[in-house]
Amino acid sequence: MQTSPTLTAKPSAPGVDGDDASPVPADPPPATADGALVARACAGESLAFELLVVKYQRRAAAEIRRVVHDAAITEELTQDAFLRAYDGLPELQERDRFWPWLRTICRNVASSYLRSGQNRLDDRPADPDAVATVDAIERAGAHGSVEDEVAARQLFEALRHAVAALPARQRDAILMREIEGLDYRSIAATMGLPVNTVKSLIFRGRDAIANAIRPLMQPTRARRW
Amino acid sequence: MNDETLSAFLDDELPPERVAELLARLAADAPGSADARERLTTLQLIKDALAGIETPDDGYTLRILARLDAHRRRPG
Repeated sequence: MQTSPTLTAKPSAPGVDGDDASPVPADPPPATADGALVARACAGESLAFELLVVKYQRRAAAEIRRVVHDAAITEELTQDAFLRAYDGLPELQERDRFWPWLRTICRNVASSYLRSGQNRLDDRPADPDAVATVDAIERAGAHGSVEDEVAARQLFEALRHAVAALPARQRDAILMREIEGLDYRSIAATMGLPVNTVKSLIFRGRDAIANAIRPLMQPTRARRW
Repeated sequence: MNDETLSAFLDDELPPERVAELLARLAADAPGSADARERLTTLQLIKDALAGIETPDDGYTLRILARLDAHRRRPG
């Protein structure tokens, strides 16, 4: 079982057969939805970890790709990173900080790959699951397929057009969230609106974008979660 | 739970106490779960694209989950 090098061990339970009869401190209740998902994943709820994969897979892959610059290797290393995260999850102390922790794992996985001098996928030690994955990627033509690349270009062009066509308040709220990284409260303060209005503006904007790109996503529905 | 809530979850704005409700909606045997998953993945794609990561999900997530499933099943 691999563990993340960034982890710190949880304190061992005191008072089992010694003098210290103080109770084992319970994990603090999660302050965020991510923290709640981590807690549930640790309790064996697989869907909770799936949701973390869905939420962070692109960001994880982007972190790795910055280092390795190869799509197929990035994909395999992204899988490695999520496997390490899954194995290390019970030791994660700050459960509300899942993404910063995963990002560190991604960077470590990518750096380890480069340090190992294994610059060709063929030279890596044979992990049967990883080999099967690479085979599946190649069969699916997921990397380098001209049709897929054209479809992706059309999709993101349509997305950009849809953003440009949004009503100004929706577009402003979305861009403050995504480009500036502001939370709803900060956006509300900036725009002079209630937080719930900001939440609604952002959702309605995204919904309009989703409606615009849906026809372009339909052909690949079976490939998604 | 409406789609506005899915959007809030992706923005880290969903209260933790509502996660059970979110998972129930996304559970494979829940009514409309396929739609909910498609809504969520589309909203996530939009978020990531606006943050500068323009990558369609060409099976990426499913391949991660398949590898994870194999990892879980592997003895030892």
